[in-house]
Amino acid sequence: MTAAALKALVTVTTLLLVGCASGSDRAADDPQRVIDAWARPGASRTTSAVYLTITNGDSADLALTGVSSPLAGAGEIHESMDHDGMMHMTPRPTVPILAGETLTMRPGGVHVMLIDLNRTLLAGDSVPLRVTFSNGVTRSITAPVRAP
Amino acid sequence: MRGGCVTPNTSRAVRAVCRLTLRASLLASLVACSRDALDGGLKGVVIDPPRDVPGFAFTQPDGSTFSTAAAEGRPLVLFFGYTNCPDVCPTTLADWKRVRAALGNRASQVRFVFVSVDPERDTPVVANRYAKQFDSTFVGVVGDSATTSGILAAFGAVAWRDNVQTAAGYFMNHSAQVFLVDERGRLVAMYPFSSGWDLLAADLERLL
Repeated sequence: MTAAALKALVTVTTLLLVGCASGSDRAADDPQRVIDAWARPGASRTTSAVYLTITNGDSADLALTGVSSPLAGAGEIHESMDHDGMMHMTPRPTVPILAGETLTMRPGGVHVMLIDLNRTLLAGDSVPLRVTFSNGVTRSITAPVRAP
Repeated sequence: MRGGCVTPNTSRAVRAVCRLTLRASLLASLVACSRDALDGGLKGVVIDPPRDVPGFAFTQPDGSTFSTAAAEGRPLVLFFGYTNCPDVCPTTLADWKRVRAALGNRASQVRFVFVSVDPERDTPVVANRYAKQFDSTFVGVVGDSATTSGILAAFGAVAWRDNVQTAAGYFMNHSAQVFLVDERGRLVAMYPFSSGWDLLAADLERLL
């Protein structure tokens, strides 16, 4: 089997397993919805980042508590912070999403760091993700890889 | 401690001095910027007067040497980062792609250089591969700790290791401006992280 065919098979299998072909959440009626997701390209054994947009349509506050992927050794939520031109990253073990509010991750702010990728991510690939909330709810989504 | 602001275990006091120095330099530059804006000069944060920066030599994966020294007709665009940086560094290098596209054929005259401030983890191969992920013309380099300290100091930049709890091992705190050096080897402007890439593109148009 060629590398391209193998890659296609892996991608298709991933899509079937996750049952979702885009960065959006399939559980449209649920209060916690991931309405956008994308990942950066990254070489195997290195890092990548994922950016999610999550809406809390519930009447209760909640928090994002974790994001993981089978394609990475670890997933951590961080926030990039600019102090007079100095950039540093701060771990954010939980990120509050108040009732009715939307958390929008974007470059230079809150993001998910995928650590120790077990394969190379190229534009057009898909990254399966498991998103966990403080109320016990989890969401399985896929994020398309984009070269911004 | 290996000297300068780049050392992984820099003390709190030294970090504070580094930050203050950076702030003073930023402030001076901002003042210069507003003055220059009246003169219709560059759109970035202008360094006035321009600061001469010496050239630094880095060994490339093929054994050849890459130098940041002045080169006629070839401005230098430089950013300090590290390859385990998932957010700020890729955002900056992705912006450089846009700058290249905006410059068209003249982009080949510009030297886009990513300098790793993490010599403990980044090898020349890793640093160069990281930069070329974004564009095959970008150059990624890393020097030994003395070279890293030296080039940071030359640009008024700082970097140090941040031992937070992370599966990534550690993070690097680092200056996140993009620096523009003209063909005479003078630092003429810098671009804070939140600046639009179009400012750098416009200023390069003027220099080329």
